[in-house]
Amino acid sequence: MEKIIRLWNMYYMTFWKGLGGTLWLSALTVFFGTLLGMFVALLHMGKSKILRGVADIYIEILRGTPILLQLYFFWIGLPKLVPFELTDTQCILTALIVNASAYISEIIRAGINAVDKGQWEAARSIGLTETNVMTRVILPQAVKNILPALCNEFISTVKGTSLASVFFVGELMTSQRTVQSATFLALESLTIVGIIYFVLNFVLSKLLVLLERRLTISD
Amino acid sequence: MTDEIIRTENLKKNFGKLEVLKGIDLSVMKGEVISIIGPSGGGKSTFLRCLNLLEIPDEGKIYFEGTDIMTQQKNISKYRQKIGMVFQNFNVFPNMTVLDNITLAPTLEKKIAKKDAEEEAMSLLIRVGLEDKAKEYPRKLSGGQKQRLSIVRALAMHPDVMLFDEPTSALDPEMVKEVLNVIRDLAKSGMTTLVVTHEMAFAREISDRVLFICNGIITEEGNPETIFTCPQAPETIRFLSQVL
Repeated sequence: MEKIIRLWNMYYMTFWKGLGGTLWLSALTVFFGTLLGMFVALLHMGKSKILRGVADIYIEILRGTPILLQLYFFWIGLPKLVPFELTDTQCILTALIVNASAYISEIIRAGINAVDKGQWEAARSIGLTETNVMTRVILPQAVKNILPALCNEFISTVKGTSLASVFFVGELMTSQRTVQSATFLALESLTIVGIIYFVLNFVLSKLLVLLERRLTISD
Repeated sequence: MTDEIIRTENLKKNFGKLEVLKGIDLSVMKGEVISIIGPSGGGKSTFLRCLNLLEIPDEGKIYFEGTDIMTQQKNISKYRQKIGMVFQNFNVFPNMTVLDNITLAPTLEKKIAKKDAEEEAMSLLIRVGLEDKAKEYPRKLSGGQKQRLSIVRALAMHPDVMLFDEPTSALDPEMVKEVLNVIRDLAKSGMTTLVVTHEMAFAREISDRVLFICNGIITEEGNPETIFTCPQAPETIRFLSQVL
Protein backbone atom coordinates (compact mmCIF):
# COMPACT_ATOMS: atom_id res chain seq x y z
CA MET A 1 0.00 0.00 0.00
CA GLU A 2 2.76 2.36 0.95
CA LYS A 3 4.62 1.50 -2.22
CA ILE A 4 1.55 2.22 -4.28
CA ILE A 5 1.16 5.68 -2.78
CA ARG A 6 4.83 6.39 -3.27
CA LEU A 7 4.63 5.21 -6.84
CA TRP A 8 1.62 7.40 -7.48
CA ASN A 9 3.33 10.42 -5.97
CA MET A 10 6.35 9.88 -8.17
CA TYR A 11 4.64 9.02 -11.43
CA TYR A 12 1.18 10.55 -11.25
CA MET A 13 1.97 12.75 -14.24
CA THR A 14 2.68 9.66 -16.34
CA PHE A 15 -0.58 8.04 -15.26
CA TRP A 16 -2.55 11.25 -15.88
CA LYS A 17 -1.08 11.46 -19.34
CA GLY A 18 -1.99 7.83 -19.92
CA LEU A 19 -5.52 8.47 -18.76
CA GLY A 20 -5.71 11.41 -21.16
CA GLY A 21 -4.58 9.12 -23.98
CA THR A 22 -7.14 6.49 -23.05
CA LEU A 23 -9.97 9.04 -22.89
CA TRP A 24 -8.97 10.54 -26.18
CA LEU A 25 -8.63 7.18 -27.94
CA SER A 26 -11.96 5.98 -26.48
CA ALA A 27 -13.84 9.14 -27.36
CA LEU A 28 -12.65 9.07 -30.96
CA THR A 29 -13.31 5.33 -31.25
CA VAL A 30 -16.80 5.64 -29.81
CA PHE A 31 -17.68 8.67 -31.93
CA PHE A 32 -16.38 7.48 -35.27
CA GLY A 33 -17.22 3.86 -34.47
CA THR A 34 -20.84 4.88 -33.94
CA LEU A 35 -20.92 6.91 -37.16
CA LEU A 36 -19.35 4.11 -39.18
CA GLY A 37 -21.53 1.56 -37.36
CA MET A 38 -24.66 3.48 -38.26
CA PHE A 39 -23.58 3.53 -41.88
CA VAL A 40 -22.87 -0.21 -41.87
CA ALA A 41 -26.22 -0.89 -40.16
CA LEU A 42 -28.04 1.09 -42.85
CA LEU A 43 -26.24 -0.87 -45.57
CA HIS A 44 -27.08 -4.07 -43.76
CA MET A 45 -30.78 -3.19 -43.73
CA GLY A 46 -30.87 -1.58 -47.17
CA LYS A 47 -32.56 -2.72 -50.34
CA SER A 48 -29.45 -3.69 -52.29
CA LYS A 49 -28.60 -7.37 -51.88
CA ILE A 50 -24.96 -6.80 -52.80
CA LEU A 51 -24.44 -4.05 -50.21
CA ARG A 52 -26.23 -6.17 -47.64
CA GLY A 53 -23.80 -9.00 -48.38
CA VAL A 54 -20.79 -6.67 -48.13
CA ALA A 55 -21.98 -5.38 -44.75
CA ASP A 56 -22.57 -8.92 -43.58
CA ILE A 57 -19.06 -10.07 -44.52
CA TYR A 58 -17.54 -6.94 -42.92
CA ILE A 59 -19.32 -7.62 -39.64
CA GLU A 60 -18.64 -11.35 -39.59
CA ILE A 61 -14.90 -10.94 -40.25
CA LEU A 62 -14.47 -8.27 -37.59
CA ARG A 63 -16.44 -10.23 -35.03
CA GLY A 64 -14.83 -13.52 -35.93
CA THR A 65 -11.18 -12.52 -35.54
CA PRO A 66 -9.34 -11.35 -32.40
CA ILE A 67 -9.02 -7.63 -31.93
CA LEU A 68 -5.28 -7.96 -31.25
CA LEU A 69 -4.88 -9.58 -34.65
CA GLN A 70 -6.82 -6.74 -36.24
CA LEU A 71 -4.59 -4.18 -34.54
CA TYR A 72 -1.48 -5.89 -35.91
CA PHE A 73 -3.08 -6.15 -39.30
CA PHE A 74 -3.84 -2.44 -39.49
CA TRP A 75 -0.56 -1.48 -37.89
CA ILE A 76 1.43 -3.32 -40.56
CA GLY A 77 -1.00 -3.23 -43.46
CA LEU A 78 -2.55 0.23 -43.40
CA PRO A 79 0.66 2.20 -44.03
CA LYS A 80 1.23 0.04 -47.14
CA LEU A 81 -2.26 0.75 -48.44
CA VAL A 82 -2.32 4.52 -48.20
CA PRO A 83 -0.02 6.85 -50.15
CA PHE A 84 0.67 9.14 -47.16
CA GLU A 85 2.56 8.71 -43.88
CA LEU A 86 0.68 7.31 -40.90
CA THR A 87 1.71 7.31 -37.27
CA ASP A 88 1.27 4.17 -35.16
CA THR A 89 -1.46 5.95 -33.23
CA GLN A 90 -3.40 6.66 -36.40
CA CYS A 91 -3.16 3.04 -37.53
CA ILE A 92 -4.28 1.71 -34.14
CA LEU A 93 -7.07 4.25 -33.87
CA THR A 94 -8.37 3.24 -37.28
CA ALA A 95 -8.33 -0.41 -36.27
CA LEU A 96 -10.19 0.34 -33.04
CA ILE A 97 -12.82 2.36 -34.92
CA VAL A 98 -13.32 -0.33 -37.54
CA ASN A 99 -13.57 -3.02 -34.88
CA ALA A 100 -16.07 -1.04 -32.78
CA SER A 101 -18.17 -0.21 -35.85
CA ALA A 102 -18.91 -3.89 -36.45
CA TYR A 103 -20.29 -4.40 -32.97
CA ILE A 104 -22.09 -1.07 -32.89
CA SER A 105 -23.73 -1.67 -36.27
CA GLU A 106 -25.22 -4.90 -34.96
CA ILE A 107 -26.48 -3.13 -31.84
CA ILE A 108 -28.08 -0.41 -33.96
CA ARG A 109 -29.61 -2.92 -36.34
CA ALA A 110 -31.12 -4.94 -33.51
CA GLY A 111 -32.46 -1.75 -31.90
CA ILE A 112 -34.10 -0.62 -35.13
CA ASN A 113 -35.56 -4.05 -35.81
CA ALA A 114 -37.06 -4.08 -32.33
CA VAL A 115 -39.24 -1.07 -33.17
CA ASP A 116 -42.74 -2.29 -33.96
CA LYS A 117 -43.36 -2.77 -37.68
CA GLY A 118 -46.59 -0.82 -37.30
CA GLN A 119 -44.58 2.32 -36.55
CA TRP A 120 -42.95 2.15 -39.98
CA GLU A 121 -46.31 1.65 -41.63
CA ALA A 122 -48.00 4.45 -39.73
CA ALA A 123 -45.15 6.84 -40.46
CA ARG A 124 -45.24 5.95 -44.14
CA SER A 125 -49.02 6.11 -44.31
CA ILE A 126 -49.12 9.76 -43.24
CA GLY A 127 -46.83 10.55 -46.12
CA LEU A 128 -43.41 10.94 -44.49
CA THR A 129 -40.42 10.45 -46.77
CA GLU A 130 -38.23 7.44 -46.01
CA THR A 131 -35.59 9.71 -44.45
CA ASN A 132 -38.12 11.31 -42.13
CA VAL A 133 -39.64 7.94 -41.26
CA MET A 134 -36.20 6.85 -40.14
CA THR A 135 -34.95 10.00 -38.43
CA ARG A 136 -38.18 11.28 -36.87
CA VAL A 137 -40.09 8.14 -35.96
CA ILE A 138 -37.93 5.01 -35.92
CA LEU A 139 -34.51 6.16 -34.66
CA PRO A 140 -35.84 8.10 -31.63
CA GLN A 141 -37.63 4.94 -30.54
CA ALA A 142 -34.69 2.70 -31.43
CA VAL A 143 -32.31 4.75 -29.29
CA LYS A 144 -34.05 3.44 -26.18
CA ASN A 145 -33.49 -0.14 -27.30
CA ILE A 146 -29.93 0.62 -28.37
CA LEU A 147 -28.67 2.57 -25.39
CA PRO A 148 -28.13 -0.17 -22.79
CA ALA A 149 -26.21 -2.36 -25.24
CA LEU A 150 -24.31 0.62 -26.57
CA CYS A 151 -23.35 1.52 -23.02
CA ASN A 152 -21.76 -1.90 -22.61
CA GLU A 153 -20.01 -1.46 -25.92
CA PHE A 154 -18.60 1.92 -24.85
CA ILE A 155 -17.20 0.37 -21.71
CA SER A 156 -15.58 -2.47 -23.58
CA THR A 157 -14.19 0.08 -26.00
CA VAL A 158 -12.51 1.89 -23.12
CA LYS A 159 -11.02 -1.39 -21.95
CA GLY A 160 -10.17 -2.38 -25.50
CA THR A 161 -7.95 0.65 -25.96
CA SER A 162 -5.54 -0.93 -23.47
CA LEU A 163 -4.45 -3.24 -26.28
CA ALA A 164 -2.88 -0.23 -27.93
CA SER A 165 -0.11 -0.54 -25.35
CA VAL A 166 1.23 -3.46 -27.37
CA PHE A 167 2.20 -0.84 -29.95
CA PHE A 168 3.31 1.76 -27.39
CA VAL A 169 0.53 4.10 -28.36
CA GLY A 170 0.13 6.64 -25.56
CA GLU A 171 -2.59 5.49 -23.20
CA LEU A 172 -3.07 4.21 -19.67
CA MET A 173 -1.72 0.69 -20.13
CA THR A 174 1.31 2.02 -21.95
CA SER A 175 2.05 4.37 -19.08
CA GLN A 176 1.86 1.37 -16.76
CA ARG A 177 4.47 -0.39 -18.87
CA THR A 178 6.64 2.72 -18.77
CA VAL A 179 6.43 2.98 -15.00
CA GLN A 180 6.99 -0.72 -14.55
CA SER A 181 10.13 -0.76 -16.63
CA ALA A 182 11.47 2.24 -14.75
CA THR A 183 10.71 0.94 -11.25
CA PHE A 184 10.19 -2.84 -11.56
CA LEU A 185 7.05 -2.40 -9.46
CA ALA A 186 4.65 -4.43 -11.62
CA LEU A 187 1.82 -5.25 -9.19
CA GLU A 188 1.77 -1.77 -7.73
CA SER A 189 1.55 0.02 -11.07
CA LEU A 190 -1.03 -2.47 -12.29
CA THR A 191 -3.13 -1.75 -9.21
CA ILE A 192 -3.04 1.98 -9.85
CA VAL A 193 -3.99 1.59 -13.48
CA GLY A 194 -6.69 -0.93 -12.56
CA ILE A 195 -8.25 1.52 -10.12
CA ILE A 196 -8.21 4.28 -12.72
CA TYR A 197 -9.91 2.03 -15.31
CA PHE A 198 -12.50 0.93 -12.79
CA VAL A 199 -13.37 4.44 -11.64
CA LEU A 200 -13.53 5.64 -15.23
CA ASN A 201 -15.91 2.89 -16.31
CA PHE A 202 -17.97 3.12 -13.15
CA VAL A 203 -18.57 6.82 -13.71
CA LEU A 204 -19.26 6.21 -17.38
CA SER A 205 -21.83 3.52 -16.70
CA LYS A 206 -23.61 5.66 -14.09
CA LEU A 207 -23.73 8.59 -16.52
CA LEU A 208 -25.22 6.38 -19.21
CA VAL A 209 -27.87 5.06 -16.81
CA LEU A 210 -28.87 8.68 -16.10
CA LEU A 211 -29.08 9.44 -19.82
CA GLU A 212 -31.13 6.29 -20.36
CA ARG A 213 -33.59 7.34 -17.69
CA ARG A 214 -34.08 10.74 -19.30
CA LEU A 215 -34.77 9.19 -22.67
CA THR A 216 -37.34 6.72 -21.41
CA ILE A 217 -39.38 9.49 -19.78
CA SER A 218 -42.26 9.00 -22.24
CA ASP A 219 -42.99 5.48 -21.00
CA MET B 1 -71.49 10.30 -62.94
CA THR B 2 -69.22 11.45 -60.11
CA ASP B 3 -65.43 11.40 -60.50
CA GLU B 4 -63.41 8.29 -60.05
CA ILE B 5 -60.68 8.63 -57.42
CA ILE B 6 -59.14 5.15 -57.20
CA ARG B 7 -59.14 2.35 -59.70
CA THR B 8 -57.38 -0.99 -59.46
CA GLU B 9 -56.93 -3.34 -62.37
CA ASN B 10 -56.15 -7.02 -61.98
CA LEU B 11 -54.31 -6.49 -58.69
CA LYS B 12 -52.30 -9.53 -57.63
CA LYS B 13 -50.14 -10.12 -54.59
CA ASN B 14 -48.28 -13.22 -53.44
CA PHE B 15 -46.57 -13.88 -50.13
CA GLY B 16 -44.09 -16.52 -51.19
CA LYS B 17 -46.16 -19.27 -52.76
CA LEU B 18 -49.40 -18.09 -51.22
CA GLU B 19 -51.56 -16.11 -53.61
CA VAL B 20 -53.27 -13.55 -51.39
CA LEU B 21 -54.81 -11.39 -54.10
CA LYS B 22 -55.74 -13.07 -57.34
CA GLY B 23 -56.79 -10.14 -59.47
CA ILE B 24 -58.92 -7.40 -57.96
CA ASP B 25 -60.67 -4.81 -60.11
CA LEU B 26 -62.31 -1.96 -58.30
CA SER B 27 -63.36 1.55 -59.09
CA VAL B 28 -63.99 3.96 -56.23
CA MET B 29 -65.89 7.19 -56.79
CA LYS B 30 -65.23 10.42 -54.94
CA GLY B 31 -67.27 10.53 -51.74
CA GLU B 32 -68.14 6.87 -51.86
CA VAL B 33 -68.20 4.80 -48.66
CA ILE B 34 -67.18 1.21 -49.23
CA SER B 35 -67.08 -1.58 -46.67
CA ILE B 36 -64.96 -4.62 -47.30
CA ILE B 37 -66.07 -7.77 -45.52
CA GLY B 38 -65.10 -11.41 -45.74
CA PRO B 39 -63.41 -14.23 -43.88
CA SER B 40 -60.00 -13.80 -42.22
CA GLY B 41 -57.08 -14.46 -44.53
CA GLY B 42 -59.18 -13.68 -47.58
CA GLY B 43 -57.05 -10.71 -48.63
CA LYS B 44 -59.13 -7.76 -47.38
CA SER B 45 -56.35 -6.08 -45.43
CA THR B 46 -53.72 -6.86 -48.04
CA PHE B 47 -55.89 -5.22 -50.67
CA LEU B 48 -56.31 -2.10 -48.55
CA ARG B 49 -52.58 -1.99 -47.84
CA CYS B 50 -51.83 -2.20 -51.55
CA LEU B 51 -53.78 0.99 -52.19
CA ASN B 52 -51.09 3.16 -50.53
CA LEU B 53 -48.30 0.75 -51.47
CA LEU B 54 -47.56 -0.42 -47.95
CA GLU B 55 -47.59 -3.70 -49.84
CA ILE B 56 -46.24 -3.62 -53.36
CA PRO B 57 -48.52 -5.64 -55.64
CA ASP B 58 -46.86 -8.23 -57.85
CA GLU B 59 -49.10 -7.50 -60.80
CA GLY B 60 -51.79 -5.09 -61.87
CA LYS B 61 -52.28 -1.35 -61.74
CA ILE B 62 -53.46 1.17 -59.16
CA TYR B 63 -54.68 4.54 -60.38
CA PHE B 64 -55.07 7.41 -57.96
CA GLU B 65 -56.85 10.36 -59.57
CA GLY B 66 -55.80 9.00 -62.93
CA THR B 67 -52.10 8.47 -62.14
CA ASP B 68 -50.65 4.98 -62.07
CA ILE B 69 -48.98 5.09 -58.65
CA MET B 70 -47.09 1.85 -59.27
CA THR B 71 -44.85 3.92 -61.56
CA GLN B 72 -44.52 6.62 -58.88
CA GLN B 73 -42.80 4.62 -56.17
CA LYS B 74 -40.11 7.28 -55.81
CA ASN B 75 -42.72 9.92 -55.00
CA ILE B 76 -45.00 7.61 -53.12
CA SER B 77 -44.97 9.76 -49.98
CA LYS B 78 -46.76 12.52 -51.95
CA TYR B 79 -49.60 10.11 -52.73
CA ARG B 80 -49.69 8.68 -49.26
CA GLN B 81 -50.33 12.19 -47.97
CA LYS B 82 -53.61 12.10 -49.86
CA ILE B 83 -54.54 8.64 -48.60
CA GLY B 84 -55.03 8.49 -44.85
CA MET B 85 -54.80 5.13 -43.15
CA VAL B 86 -55.96 3.84 -39.78
CA PHE B 87 -54.62 0.54 -38.46
CA GLN B 88 -55.99 -2.17 -36.25
CA ASN B 89 -53.24 -1.62 -33.68
CA PHE B 90 -53.48 2.20 -33.73
CA ASN B 91 -49.74 2.62 -34.29
CA VAL B 92 -49.64 6.00 -32.63
CA PHE B 93 -46.11 7.24 -31.98
CA PRO B 94 -45.44 6.44 -28.31
CA ASN B 95 -42.50 8.83 -27.97
CA MET B 96 -44.48 11.93 -28.90
CA THR B 97 -47.29 13.81 -27.22
CA VAL B 98 -50.76 13.59 -28.71
CA LEU B 99 -50.27 17.01 -30.28
CA ASP B 100 -46.88 16.10 -31.77
CA ASN B 101 -48.33 12.91 -33.22
CA ILE B 102 -50.73 15.06 -35.21
CA THR B 103 -48.44 17.91 -36.22
CA LEU B 104 -45.44 15.76 -37.24
CA ALA B 105 -46.39 15.15 -40.86
CA PRO B 106 -47.97 18.55 -41.62
CA THR B 107 -44.93 20.44 -40.32
CA LEU B 108 -42.37 18.12 -41.94
CA GLU B 109 -43.93 17.38 -45.29
CA LYS B 110 -46.23 20.32 -45.91
CA LYS B 111 -43.96 22.87 -44.22
CA ILE B 112 -46.86 24.25 -42.25
CA ALA B 113 -45.79 26.52 -39.39
CA LYS B 114 -45.78 24.70 -36.08
CA LYS B 115 -48.23 27.16 -34.58
CA ASP B 116 -50.77 26.80 -37.38
CA ALA B 117 -50.42 23.03 -37.35
CA GLU B 118 -51.06 22.97 -33.61
CA GLU B 119 -54.09 25.18 -33.96
CA GLU B 120 -55.55 22.85 -36.53
CA ALA B 121 -54.63 19.80 -34.48
CA MET B 122 -56.52 21.28 -31.54
CA SER B 123 -59.64 21.83 -33.59
CA LEU B 124 -59.42 18.23 -34.83
CA LEU B 125 -58.97 17.00 -31.27
CA ILE B 126 -62.05 18.93 -30.22
CA ARG B 127 -63.95 17.23 -33.03
CA VAL B 128 -63.17 13.78 -31.58
CA GLY B 129 -63.36 14.85 -27.93
CA LEU B 130 -59.66 14.54 -27.07
CA GLU B 131 -58.81 18.21 -26.55
CA ASP B 132 -57.84 17.71 -22.90
CA LYS B 133 -55.30 15.02 -23.87
CA ALA B 134 -53.23 17.21 -26.19
CA LYS B 135 -50.16 17.31 -23.94
CA GLU B 136 -50.34 13.68 -22.82
CA TYR B 137 -48.24 10.83 -24.11
CA PRO B 138 -50.20 8.01 -25.79
CA ARG B 139 -49.45 5.55 -22.98
CA LYS B 140 -52.04 7.41 -20.92
CA LEU B 141 -54.77 6.94 -23.51
CA SER B 142 -57.27 4.10 -23.72
CA GLY B 143 -57.50 2.01 -26.88
CA GLY B 144 -60.46 3.95 -28.14
CA GLN B 145 -58.69 7.24 -27.50
CA LYS B 146 -55.58 6.00 -29.28
CA GLN B 147 -57.64 5.03 -32.27
CA ARG B 148 -59.37 8.41 -32.37
CA LEU B 149 -55.92 10.00 -32.20
CA SER B 150 -54.72 7.91 -35.13
CA ILE B 151 -57.74 9.01 -37.16
CA VAL B 152 -57.03 12.65 -36.37
CA ARG B 153 -53.36 12.17 -37.22
CA ALA B 154 -54.39 10.98 -40.68
CA LEU B 155 -56.96 13.77 -41.11
CA ALA B 156 -54.36 16.44 -40.33
CA MET B 157 -52.87 15.81 -43.78
CA HIS B 158 -56.23 16.60 -45.44
CA PRO B 159 -56.44 13.30 -47.27
CA ASP B 160 -58.84 12.72 -50.15
CA VAL B 161 -59.40 9.11 -49.12
CA MET B 162 -59.43 7.37 -45.76
CA LEU B 163 -58.57 3.68 -45.41
CA PHE B 164 -59.60 1.88 -42.24
CA ASP B 165 -58.04 -1.52 -41.63
CA GLU B 166 -60.21 -3.23 -39.00
CA PRO B 167 -60.23 -0.08 -36.88
CA THR B 168 -62.18 -1.59 -33.99
CA SER B 169 -60.85 -5.17 -33.92
CA ALA B 170 -58.29 -4.52 -31.19
CA LEU B 171 -60.67 -2.52 -28.99
CA ASP B 172 -62.53 -3.51 -25.86
CA PRO B 173 -66.26 -3.73 -26.65
CA GLU B 174 -67.19 -0.57 -24.74
CA MET B 175 -64.79 1.49 -26.86
CA VAL B 176 -65.96 0.31 -30.25
CA LYS B 177 -68.80 2.77 -30.37
CA GLU B 178 -66.77 5.93 -29.81
CA VAL B 179 -64.50 5.00 -32.72
CA LEU B 180 -67.33 3.98 -35.01
CA ASN B 181 -69.04 7.31 -34.30
CA VAL B 182 -66.00 9.20 -35.52
CA ILE B 183 -65.81 7.09 -38.69
CA ARG B 184 -69.53 7.52 -39.28
CA ASP B 185 -69.31 11.32 -38.99
CA LEU B 186 -66.39 11.32 -41.36
CA ALA B 187 -68.16 9.17 -43.92
CA LYS B 188 -71.27 11.33 -43.71
CA SER B 189 -69.20 14.46 -44.24
CA GLY B 190 -68.39 13.20 -47.73
CA MET B 191 -64.96 11.67 -47.16
CA THR B 192 -64.18 8.86 -49.57
CA THR B 193 -63.89 5.92 -47.21
CA LEU B 194 -62.84 2.29 -47.46
CA VAL B 195 -63.34 0.22 -44.32
CA VAL B 196 -62.27 -3.35 -43.73
CA THR B 197 -64.50 -4.38 -40.87
CA HIS B 198 -66.12 -7.20 -38.96
CA GLU B 199 -68.84 -4.87 -37.66
CA MET B 200 -71.60 -6.01 -39.98
CA ALA B 201 -74.30 -3.72 -38.63
CA PHE B 202 -71.96 -0.76 -39.06
CA ALA B 203 -71.03 -1.78 -42.59
CA ARG B 204 -74.66 -2.11 -43.47
CA GLU B 205 -75.50 1.27 -42.02
CA ILE B 206 -72.79 3.52 -43.46
CA SER B 207 -71.84 1.95 -46.79
CA ASP B 208 -72.84 2.93 -50.28
CA ARG B 209 -71.36 -0.33 -51.43
CA VAL B 210 -70.20 -3.54 -49.79
CA LEU B 211 -67.44 -5.75 -51.20
CA PHE B 212 -67.14 -9.36 -50.18
CA ILE B 213 -63.53 -10.50 -50.60
CA CYS B 214 -62.77 -14.18 -50.24
CA ASN B 215 -59.75 -16.21 -51.42
CA GLY B 216 -58.20 -13.16 -53.03
CA ILE B 217 -61.06 -12.10 -55.27
CA ILE B 218 -64.18 -9.98 -54.96
CA THR B 219 -66.79 -12.71 -54.98
CA GLU B 220 -69.71 -10.36 -54.57
CA GLU B 221 -70.42 -6.65 -54.41
CA GLY B 222 -73.45 -4.47 -54.25
CA ASN B 223 -75.47 -2.17 -52.08
CA PRO B 224 -75.61 -3.18 -48.42
CA GLU B 225 -79.28 -4.11 -48.41
CA THR B 226 -78.88 -6.64 -51.19
CA ILE B 227 -75.69 -8.15 -49.80
CA PHE B 228 -77.01 -8.53 -46.29
CA THR B 229 -80.60 -9.59 -47.09
CA CYS B 230 -80.24 -11.73 -50.19
CA PRO B 231 -76.60 -12.59 -50.88
CA GLN B 232 -76.00 -14.51 -54.10
CA ALA B 233 -72.55 -16.09 -53.95
CA PRO B 234 -72.34 -19.26 -51.86
CA GLU B 235 -69.25 -17.92 -50.02
CA THR B 236 -71.16 -14.82 -48.94
CA ILE B 237 -74.14 -16.86 -47.80
CA ARG B 238 -71.93 -19.15 -45.73
CA PHE B 239 -69.96 -16.24 -44.22
CA LEU B 240 -72.99 -14.19 -43.30
CA SER B 241 -74.80 -17.14 -41.79
CA GLN B 242 -71.79 -17.60 -39.51
CA VAL B 243 -71.37 -14.01 -38.37
CA LEU B 244 -74.92 -12.64 -38.21
